Amino acid sequence: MTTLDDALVATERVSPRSDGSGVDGDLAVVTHGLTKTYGAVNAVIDVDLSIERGAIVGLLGPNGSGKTTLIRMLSTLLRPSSGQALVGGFDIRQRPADVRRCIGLTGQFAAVDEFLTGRENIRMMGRLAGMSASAATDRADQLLTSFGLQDAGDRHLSTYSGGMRRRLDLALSLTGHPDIVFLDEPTTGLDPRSRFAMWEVIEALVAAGTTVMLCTQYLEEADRLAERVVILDAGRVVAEGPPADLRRQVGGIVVELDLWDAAQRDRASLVLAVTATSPITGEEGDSHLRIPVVDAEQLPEVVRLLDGAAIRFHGLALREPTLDDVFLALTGHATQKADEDEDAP
Amino acid sequence: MTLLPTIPANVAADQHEQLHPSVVTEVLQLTGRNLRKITREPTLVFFSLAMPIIMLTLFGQVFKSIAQTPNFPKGVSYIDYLLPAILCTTLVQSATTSSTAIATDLDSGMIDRFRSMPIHAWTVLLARNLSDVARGMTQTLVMLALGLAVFGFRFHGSLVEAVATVFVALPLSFAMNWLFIWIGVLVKKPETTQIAGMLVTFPLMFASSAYVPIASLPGWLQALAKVNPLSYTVDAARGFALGNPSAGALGKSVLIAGVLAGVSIVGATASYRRIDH
Repeated sequence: MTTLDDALVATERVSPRSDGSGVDGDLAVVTHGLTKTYGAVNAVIDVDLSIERGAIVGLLGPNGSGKTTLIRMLSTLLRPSSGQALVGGFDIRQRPADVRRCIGLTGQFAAVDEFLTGRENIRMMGRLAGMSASAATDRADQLLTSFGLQDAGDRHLSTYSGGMRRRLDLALSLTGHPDIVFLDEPTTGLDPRSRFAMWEVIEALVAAGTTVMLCTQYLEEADRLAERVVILDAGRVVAEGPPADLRRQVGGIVVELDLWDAAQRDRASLVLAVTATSPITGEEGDSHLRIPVVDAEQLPEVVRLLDGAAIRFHGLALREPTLDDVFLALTGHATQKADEDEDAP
Repeated sequence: MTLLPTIPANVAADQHEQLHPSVVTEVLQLTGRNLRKITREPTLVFFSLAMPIIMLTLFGQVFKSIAQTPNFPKGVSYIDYLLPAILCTTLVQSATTSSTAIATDLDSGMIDRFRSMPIHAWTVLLARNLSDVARGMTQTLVMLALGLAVFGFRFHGSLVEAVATVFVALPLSFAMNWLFIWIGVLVKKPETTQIAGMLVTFPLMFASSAYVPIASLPGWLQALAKVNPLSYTVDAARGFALGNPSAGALGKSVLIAGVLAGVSIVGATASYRRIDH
């Protein structure tokens, strides 16, 4: 994807602050006690964050954990109830217009204009970002090429796939050369191939020096893209650090067990509880179980316990803990099961 | 409370100034976007013309005999009486689509995108207003052309009065569009705005002087029709069309439109700024 890299390097060159003049070692985003409450409901509580320029930070948590609320506050769409935040060096409450000049936002749903072509969409964003007509046209060409949309550039959006819409959505957010980009679940609902394409775009963006804050429910996504992960649960930061450190924090190793008979799942959990370091998990009605244990030496013990209880299995594997396990260990509940609610409005 | 370390903002801010669009560019870009959307949605164009055409056809036939009643102006055919009113009601009905359009943009995240960009709140709303007023006026011109070509409508007055017939409802169109933008920002759900639009426009259209003389309405409806701003605009348009202009109706029509526009602009802008706060 050389073209993509070219376009994003151009972002860095044109952007007034990416050369680091006078702002070396600065923080792109910093918050202190940031809180948002809706009546009695606390959407985001007392969040302290700092993101260095050029970093990519994953904001991880289930639906309703406050990720979207946090992003909406940082992008000036939502007024905090209390606390302070600087984005690009500007206070989000005192100088929202200045904040808006340095950010790009890609929301949960592709905010693209249905009745315009891809090219017209980018051109409009360019003009609204203060570019001349010819500069906006050039920018549209550049971004369409970078995002693999050159052939679709003059087609109406009704002909675009979900993945193409998301890519265009991200292209629109980048039109004005933002230094800081907020991505709110950019791959939710995409097929694996489109998700992979989106990841490559995000990686190129970071390689070109843009600061990225990436909200996601997918642990795999945060694991792959983020240098640092912030885990939110019920509006609070419950853990923070590089994915590898967080995995180490959980410690140990995970045994993946496949039973022959799903009906024996509960009995297996009960029998194996003595070896587990944190709760044994698995989907309801499924024959699969995950058992966090201290180390690989626990494996014979697991087999003995299952054998003693006459529980038959057809699969047994050891693996390193993932962020999912981290989340479970930190919050006592799994990411997907937390709740079904959307983030507060 | 600990203060966060503030980055020397002046450095960044100075360099940002050069990348700021003029408000004219903002309004033109956003209006152009709205207009393209209108022209590229053929079903919307079709249905927004179908309704007034159906009303013109049906009412022209159903209420024809009204022209023989004592309250009706002498020597005027019903179509000459009806068409100026249809021009006004078309604008009022057309205004309701402003609330659906703004609610659709809110729903799709387009407004979030605009709000996260360094553009003014009021230019987004003004662009909505300008494009929708332009669409409403286009509809009335189509209706007028149809009236002249197909339905046998004719002006009784001078050319100036004929032009005034078409443009007398412009202030009301402007005001009603602002009102519906406000409703759209408050309601936020495209489906709900359509119901809200019917709730506002139907009483306005029927409890008015649009289709029959006010004197022939039942008493309670007469009371409503007399405080209905649409009645004055219809009376003003009809006065011009029949070559018998009414300064009183024109004055009241413009005054009411001015007040309605003023309140709606303030309300819509305030509600827009408070979205999600």
